[in-house]
Amino acid sequence: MANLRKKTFLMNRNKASIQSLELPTPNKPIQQKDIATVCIYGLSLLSAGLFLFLPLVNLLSPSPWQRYMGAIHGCASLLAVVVIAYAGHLAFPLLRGNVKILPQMRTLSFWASFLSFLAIASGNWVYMRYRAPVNGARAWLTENTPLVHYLFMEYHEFTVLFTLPLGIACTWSLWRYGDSILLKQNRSVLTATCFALMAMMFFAIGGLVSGLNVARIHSL
Amino acid sequence: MTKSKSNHALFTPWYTRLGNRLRNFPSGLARGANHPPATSGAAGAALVSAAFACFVMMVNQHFTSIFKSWNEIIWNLGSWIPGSRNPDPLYGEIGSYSGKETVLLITWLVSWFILARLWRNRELKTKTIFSYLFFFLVAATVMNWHPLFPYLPLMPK
Repeated sequence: MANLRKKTFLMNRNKASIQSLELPTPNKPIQQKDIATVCIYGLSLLSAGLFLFLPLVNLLSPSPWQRYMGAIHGCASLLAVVVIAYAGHLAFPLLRGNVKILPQMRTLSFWASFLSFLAIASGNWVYMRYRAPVNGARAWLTENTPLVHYLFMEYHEFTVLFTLPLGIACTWSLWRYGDSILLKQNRSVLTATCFALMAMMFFAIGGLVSGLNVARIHSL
Repeated sequence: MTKSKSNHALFTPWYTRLGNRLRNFPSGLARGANHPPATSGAAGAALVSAAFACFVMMVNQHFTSIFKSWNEIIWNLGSWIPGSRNPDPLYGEIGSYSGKETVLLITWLVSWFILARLWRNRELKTKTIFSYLFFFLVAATVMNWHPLFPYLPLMPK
């Protein structure tokens, strides 16, 4: 009997909470949100902040080249990877035909391509010091641990370049086809664009991992 | 309803409004084009040419590693990129990598132009675009690790 009463109470409580709909937290300013929502917002912002803090470790490097070149390239590439990974993740709802995210996808893939260009440009600059005849990292790596150069650096050098044409092609397709990209007749365009967005994310994350691996073995 | 909407706009915090504005910037791009193509050929050309350029760059990488004279030609091709050649031994130079980037850029733009003309009114199947994309991207990725590259420094000069 007590069990039944408890069940009825729970059911009523659930019904009551559904009926009242008094806590639409997404539409309320941060001052009016409950403590749990504020904690979730706070932790997510802290986590993102900690992750973005990663390239600033370069500022503590004993090498002056790493301190400024490494920090600038690190910031540019991490920012590019974050935006590209966000665009890559939105390829899933886009593939399912979510029309609401379509305008955002167009601008997001554009900014992802722009940041990819900045990461590549700063990478070219850093690559100069990497190959420098005086105390360059490349000479040391090929002499002492050649696999780091042949496995990671070769991969890093080229696959990060793939992200730029792929990103621009995605932006162009998403813009050119407008909302009609979600029509059944354009299914092939949507599928190929989503695939290219995922490939872009794959090469960007691969570039970050391989770049970090090389940097941790020998700084600039 | 209108009152609640205006209240909602009043209470929308600045960061949400900023986020919404940034999400749709530039607005011309966010809206999309007014007259979309009737066939999938245009998108196929854009996407396949990007993957094809990556593939050609990696094939070129093999040739530059094997033939030193070809490496010089490619390096000259990329001399327009700042830092391609730099006599400072402390700062270093980009080297023939600048030419390899140029190969990617030229192949991409030229193949996009040619494919866009060829496939302008063609309806490409999902299988066709996907096969081209998959083949070129996988081949380009695999070619990063040529089995001979680690042994090239051991070859007689």
